[in-house]
Amino acid sequence: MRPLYWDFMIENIWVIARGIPYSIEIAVIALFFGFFIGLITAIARMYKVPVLNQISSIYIAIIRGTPLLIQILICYYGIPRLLQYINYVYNLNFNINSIPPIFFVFFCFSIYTGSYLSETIRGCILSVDPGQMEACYSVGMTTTKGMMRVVLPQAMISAVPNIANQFIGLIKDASLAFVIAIPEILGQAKIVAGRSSKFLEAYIVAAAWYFVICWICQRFINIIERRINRQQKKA
Amino acid sequence: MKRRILAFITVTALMATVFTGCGSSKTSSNSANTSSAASSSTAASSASSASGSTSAEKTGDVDTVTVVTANSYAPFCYLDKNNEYQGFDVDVLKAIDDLDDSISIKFETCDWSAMLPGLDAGRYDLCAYQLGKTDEREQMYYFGQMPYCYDAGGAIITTPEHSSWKSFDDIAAAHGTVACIVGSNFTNYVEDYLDKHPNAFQTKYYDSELPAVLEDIANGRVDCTINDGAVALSKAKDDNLTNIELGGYVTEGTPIWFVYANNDRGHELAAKLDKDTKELAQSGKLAEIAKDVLGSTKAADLLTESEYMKK
Repeated sequence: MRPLYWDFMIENIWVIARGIPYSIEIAVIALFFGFFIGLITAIARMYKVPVLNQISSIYIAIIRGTPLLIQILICYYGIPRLLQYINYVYNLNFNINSIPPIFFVFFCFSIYTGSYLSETIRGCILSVDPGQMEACYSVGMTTTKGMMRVVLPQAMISAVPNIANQFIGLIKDASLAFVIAIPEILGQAKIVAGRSSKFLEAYIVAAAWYFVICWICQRFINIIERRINRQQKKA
Repeated sequence: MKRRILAFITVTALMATVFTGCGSSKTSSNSANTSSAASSSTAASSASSASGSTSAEKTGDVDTVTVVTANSYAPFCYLDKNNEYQGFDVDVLKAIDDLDDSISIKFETCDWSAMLPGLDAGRYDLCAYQLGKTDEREQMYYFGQMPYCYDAGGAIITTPEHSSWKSFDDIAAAHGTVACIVGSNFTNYVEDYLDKHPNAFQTKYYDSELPAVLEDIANGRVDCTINDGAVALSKAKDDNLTNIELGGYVTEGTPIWFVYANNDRGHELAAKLDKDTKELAQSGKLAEIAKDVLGSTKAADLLTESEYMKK
């Protein structure tokens, strides 16, 4: 049995930490765009907007039915092909290879998050008492106005815990981005491990970093949730 | 009732998974024991018929040696159409299996990042994946006294527009970006150079096999990589990448070793396989395999001429 190399782990804590900005960047951007995608698709499905409703259903089914890892690979290798084709058809001269790989990750993770948030947001909108909307109509508001001013704000409050969980999930899912050479936390760990063959040690350090980040996020989320609860009680 | 049906389906599915899992590992392990390992095609075709019969051929105590290797590193170790292990490393081990009656070799595969830890865990007895020595690896694992071949050296693999690059200095002068495969010997060379010349050029780390890196080079996403020239060109040809060319060679051929766990079992096995490998090299069998699989005897010749043979 060989022992764990503690020195190696301590030495490489900050080397592996270099991946943290990538992980957080991916999670934040994916959550931001994913939220809007989710909102649009949720509303399209609730109000059965023609065409958009069908597209949304198919999109959610496909994204939820395939592994994220495969989605990343398809985006990274597939989107350039698609752009090449568009270039060819429209005679454009857009340099596809100048797109940094991280954009494919942003794109893919946004789409992925959108499909999951769509269901969350839909559930939260449905949880708002239908009487609220009826009240809006009674004072002459349109559906859009009622949605924006009365229903959505209430729905979003109940969506906060779910969205926050999604964020923590995203930070962990970002570990898949190393398949397309994004050196995030796990990527950095694999790089130092590949150099030294001390895989277990590197993975332990990476796990510790993920744990620390997620723990901090969880604390923040708890604070936010408590605030919301207090305000709701006041109201 | 519904629940019962569901439970039945689950159990059946689980059992099916377990059994197919066992089946595939059995066939792969027996493929190592086929009689003629020199020609890979005959080995593949006769593998299925020979399964199970081999343990009877060998008398006395037969030690089953579990080898971990890759399944997609042609021409060294890969799975062919019939899911049989093929390649240079595999053929050398098959030849050792034929030669040495006291051991029976079975092959397994896993992700590169789990191979060496698998030695620690005792899951595998040795790793055959074109591995060279590094200080870090030597601290933790045992290499024996005898390499089983030499690599041809690392070439700069790039597109026609950069094929004038003959050395690391050329890459640095042109501000190129070098793709590095995590854990590869060639990555160590790149890192050694960068230790001496910090920030000479950019690196981009890949956790993938060579074909994915070649595709990125061909598409201009990264400028070049360092790898075995012959392997890279054959892969590029397989994948229809027409704009992959070789620049200069940046490293000389280095010995390639079987890697064992650093414990009694590892040392014992290494002593045995060192002797067998030497015999293969002396009898010319190693050169024969190299010629057959790699198209040139260079990998074996470098070994036969080396100091290791004199010990």
